[in-house]
Amino acid sequence: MVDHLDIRRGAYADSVSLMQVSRRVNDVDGVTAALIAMATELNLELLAGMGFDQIDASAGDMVVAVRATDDDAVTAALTELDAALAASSGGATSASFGDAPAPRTVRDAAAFGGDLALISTPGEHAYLEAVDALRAGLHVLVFSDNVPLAQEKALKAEAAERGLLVMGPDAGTAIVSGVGLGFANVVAPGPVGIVAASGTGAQHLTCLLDDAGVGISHVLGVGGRDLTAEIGGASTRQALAALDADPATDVIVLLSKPPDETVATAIRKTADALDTPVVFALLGPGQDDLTATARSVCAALGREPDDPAWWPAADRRVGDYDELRGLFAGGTLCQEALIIAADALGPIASNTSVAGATPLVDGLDTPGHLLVDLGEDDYTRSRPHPMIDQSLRVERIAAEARRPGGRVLLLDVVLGHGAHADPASELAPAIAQAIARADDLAVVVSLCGTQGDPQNRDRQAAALVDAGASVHLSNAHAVRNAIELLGSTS
Amino acid sequence: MTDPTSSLQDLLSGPPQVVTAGVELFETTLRDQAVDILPVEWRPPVDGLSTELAAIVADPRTAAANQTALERITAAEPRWVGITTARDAVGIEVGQFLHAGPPITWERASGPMRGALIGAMLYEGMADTPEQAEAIGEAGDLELSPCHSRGAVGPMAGVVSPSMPMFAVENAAFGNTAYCTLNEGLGKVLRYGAYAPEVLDRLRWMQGVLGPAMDAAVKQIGSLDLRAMIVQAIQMGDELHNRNRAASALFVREVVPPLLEAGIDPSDLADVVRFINGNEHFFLNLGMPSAKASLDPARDIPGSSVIVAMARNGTDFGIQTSGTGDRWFTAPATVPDGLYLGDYGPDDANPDIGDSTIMETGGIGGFVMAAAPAIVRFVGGQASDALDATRSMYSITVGEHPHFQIPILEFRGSPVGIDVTRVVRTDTLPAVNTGIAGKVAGIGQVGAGLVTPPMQVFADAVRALAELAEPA
Amino acid sequence: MSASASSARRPLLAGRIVDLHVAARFPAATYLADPRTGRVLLVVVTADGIALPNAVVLASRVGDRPFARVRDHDVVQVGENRLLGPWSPIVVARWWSPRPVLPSVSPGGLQTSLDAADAEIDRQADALPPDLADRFHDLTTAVSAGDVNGAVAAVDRLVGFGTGLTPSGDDLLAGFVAAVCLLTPVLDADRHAAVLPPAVSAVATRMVDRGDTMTTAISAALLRHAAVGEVCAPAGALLRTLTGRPALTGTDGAVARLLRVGATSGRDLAVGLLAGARLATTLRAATLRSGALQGDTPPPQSFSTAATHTLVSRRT
Repeated sequence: MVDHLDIRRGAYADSVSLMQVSRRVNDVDGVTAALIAMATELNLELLAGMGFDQIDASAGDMVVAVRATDDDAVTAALTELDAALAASSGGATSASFGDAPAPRTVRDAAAFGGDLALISTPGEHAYLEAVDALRAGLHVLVFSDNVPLAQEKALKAEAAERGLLVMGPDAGTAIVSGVGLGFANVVAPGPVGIVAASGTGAQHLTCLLDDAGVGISHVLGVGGRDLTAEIGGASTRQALAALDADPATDVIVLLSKPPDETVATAIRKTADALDTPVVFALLGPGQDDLTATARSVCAALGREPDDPAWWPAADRRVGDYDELRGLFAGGTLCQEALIIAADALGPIASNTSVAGATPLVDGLDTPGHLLVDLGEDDYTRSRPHPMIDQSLRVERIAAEARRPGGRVLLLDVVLGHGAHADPASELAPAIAQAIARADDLAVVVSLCGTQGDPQNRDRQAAALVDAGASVHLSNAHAVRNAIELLGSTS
Repeated sequence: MTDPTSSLQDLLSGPPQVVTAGVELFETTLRDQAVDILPVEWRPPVDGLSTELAAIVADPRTAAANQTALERITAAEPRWVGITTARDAVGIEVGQFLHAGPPITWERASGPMRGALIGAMLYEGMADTPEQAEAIGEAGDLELSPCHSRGAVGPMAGVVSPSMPMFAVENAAFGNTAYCTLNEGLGKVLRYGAYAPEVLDRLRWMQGVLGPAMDAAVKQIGSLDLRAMIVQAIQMGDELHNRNRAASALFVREVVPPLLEAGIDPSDLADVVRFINGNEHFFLNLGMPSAKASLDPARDIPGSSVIVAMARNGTDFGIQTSGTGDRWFTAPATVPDGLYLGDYGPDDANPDIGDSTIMETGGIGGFVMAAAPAIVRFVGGQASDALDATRSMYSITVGEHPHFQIPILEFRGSPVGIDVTRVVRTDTLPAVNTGIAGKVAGIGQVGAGLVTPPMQVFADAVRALAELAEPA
Repeated sequence: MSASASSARRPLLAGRIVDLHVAARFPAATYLADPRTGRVLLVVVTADGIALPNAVVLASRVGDRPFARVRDHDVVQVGENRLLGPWSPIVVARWWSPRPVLPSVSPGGLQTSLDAADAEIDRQADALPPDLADRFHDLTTAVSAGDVNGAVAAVDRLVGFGTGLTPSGDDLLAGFVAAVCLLTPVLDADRHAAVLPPAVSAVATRMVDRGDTMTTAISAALLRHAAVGEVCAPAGALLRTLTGRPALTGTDGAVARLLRVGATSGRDLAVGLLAGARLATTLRAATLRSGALQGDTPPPQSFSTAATHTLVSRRT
């Protein structure tokens, strides 16, 4: 063991710096003990306690004590000491103030501003963030699903008290002054305001209106449960009032499944009291489909639109088709298809709860007419939603091609913000392969998108047509086209 | 209040600025639309306690209760009004002792805690030798209570025995009083578990000379405004937990003139002035009861999730919240992360100990680290880490202190009123500075650094508050 | 780079790809023109620039230097919602309207906010230079008197009058015409039945025609937009504030933000806008009175006293 002890008269550093310096010196290989400190009484005691010789120094002196295995280690320690002392006097290594830490809650982010909060955490956590937003004076869109009903109720009660709007929970789509929230298509500003309890329904309607040259002021999603008896249409009422007061909105569309009877009466009463006309689009058997709704909205604005765009298949495959097989990404699109198809074809196996649907008996391999919503929880637990990820549909297209018997495959392709960046790049090859493999297979695509969408709608359509599909901007038209191919007896 | 229609119209009057929390995809789609966004770095709450957190947040009392707690804490006016013997101040008799942290028994007590108790027994004449004192401890013939249960706080072991003089700090806004012993200085001291004769001699001198002198001084001036001193010290670079240099210097400036006028024996006077002037942590024992006196009025507000005490006894770390009364939520204390004196290292350190975390609870200490960047070097950090420490505390507190302002943050008020629900939601622990005690009784301070409180105590408090929550 | 764009330019931006040329470039804006006609069709601006009625607004800010590599006459391919040029590709992913849709408002209510806005301009900005004020005074007098020929003559003396990218005369005209266009319908009980006074229509047509030859290409483009009520974002914000949108931080804020546009452009636009708003108000008030009093009609000229009073007094 070698002890090194020196006194640096008049050298000064504060005790904290010296503790750091000591630590660095202690970390040098071969050093067993080190104390670099101002020679205060306390430190001299420490030094004695460590077994170093008594020294004569005053509190204004710096004492350097190093115990090491050999002389080389002492030299290394002293070199490290000089470096550490130099570093401790700041300068080059000092960092700038930097940004404040990223906010961890909506309350903390809202301290910097904001008009609206978009919450897409897992459902069980959404309430806390949404309440934060309301209490900070922000409107909220809760994209998350599986939010407990009691929490939805509490949120909407608090929002009403504060004069704020809660969109959702489970609101997949909204457009506020052109800003798409969640899944939304790129549309031009215009006179139609939409209150929507259905995400893909709202997307489809906005796309049809856009195709007809009619712009959108806002789309306010209210979530699938808002018009149930439990919630009583709390958000729908707020949204209707907001759109009524908005000078840019000339016509309001209320888009929903047929609501609870009592709620429906109350909402109709609210709607009647508004200055702005309200078109009711209730998605159910015996009601207008979305394509017809779009036409009514245009009529309300004094316009007469052309039929929605469509692209016929490259060669019309006249075959002996028996079955309609629909693989949908959009829940409302699937339901609309089912309502139309059930009317023409009778019972259809499906996982959606619409009159005319029979349960799936063998999952996706259930025989006969089949229309499934692949965006349902059963299919999205282990992989992303089919609007984002095409892998399940690619698999199923191949599986359908292997099935015996003639069938018409019906697919929806949803474009817009949030959706897959180029769905045709994956679906078109799958369709082409399926058609090549099975000459008794036809493919009809319902394409939900606008020319402004980032995916480039017309190129998507062209790729799908090249693959052998016929492509329709109107979901209803796509279904009817498929039914026609089936040569339905109706 | 808000006009309902105007707020709704505002929403539709132009492209919104959007706060986003959750799936990154939607952040991206908004960026792609050239929309101004404020992203939240969201994470799930500790232990997945969403249901419990939601129950507390939905409790119609909570928001108002927390606001009341914040108002009471920040309205406090702590003043030093005198010196009182522990016997009178906290109502203990020989054989009864107060200690730091949540309740503890001799069996579970750590080295420094036992050492301090041994010292206190010797000091009170309950035992003549350390061995005798230890035997009393082993036999369970002493009555232990947390300082917090008697309106007091104690640094490190925080042991209080009946004869000790205590600072009395009155909260002029609410009329309550908090107490703390006088700081013994550094080196071998009772609060670190030392009980050598010199330690006891010093305690007796404090009882016989320092205490009466201090009392005489404060009687000369009536009382001393401690909030004003804390405000000033923060602006002078103290965070008032690990760094009390400015505050202690300010204290000397305030107390020496009245001391000179108090007619104290000149040789005692010199000793007294030399003693307080030579101890740059002297003010800690006034800062702690200031924070305690400020926090106590915020206790027992039904529904409030604000933390009113954080304390450690060398074995456990414990917290109390306003809405859960005197209940302690505890978990094993950890060894602080810091720098060590001499050749001491983590192996020599005792787990976290002391009531001094009352400073952080009151929005000082680690919470005003930005005002005292020198402190951050205890853990080898940079000045920017000090800023981050303070800035991240705003996400777990109810509000800001109107008086404790931090110059470098544009004089923003310090984060204050720790909301236990936000600790758990954001997985952000309170930033706590501390001294590190040696684990063997009597060694004294071996270092200083930062504490990592056990998250479990905050989670447990949330569970308890959720059980007490009223439905929306 | 992501961007939002004026829906007024959607046919061009979303249509087939065409080549435009860089007509002018600044740190916060790049103007694009049709290479054949020289007409300015678009301006690409930074997020902190001015959202002109023909703008593509980037998410980038001027400090990001998005136009660092742009040179005069560079070719920019525009179409299919993209702008490919001497920058990383710009994708338009959102549309906004440069034509503010205003809520219905009563003449009295508008009058009150106009007085406040006038006072604010007096406080914050220099008065119009005398020769400019004279020319503009001629315009407002002629229009309020229903003197079509006089109004057209006044337009000829204003278009291109002044210096800079958008001469003062153009800004006054643009603000004036846009305000009348936008406010006349919302002052009417039936906004779809409202008709512009003939003199205003004549002014709008004339300023567009004269703009083609008598002023800068950049300004001519803005006049074309103003003729149909399309204005820059700060002007739209001021109009919304005037018609009672409390969200826009009050008249003071909206006036101040418009005044910050350009060197004198903001002031000229604001003065024109407020004069146009006053004209619309007075005409509407006169109609209401004539309806109520059955022929006991004060002549619409009464407008000119209010509108020109401020302008004249500002000159002194």
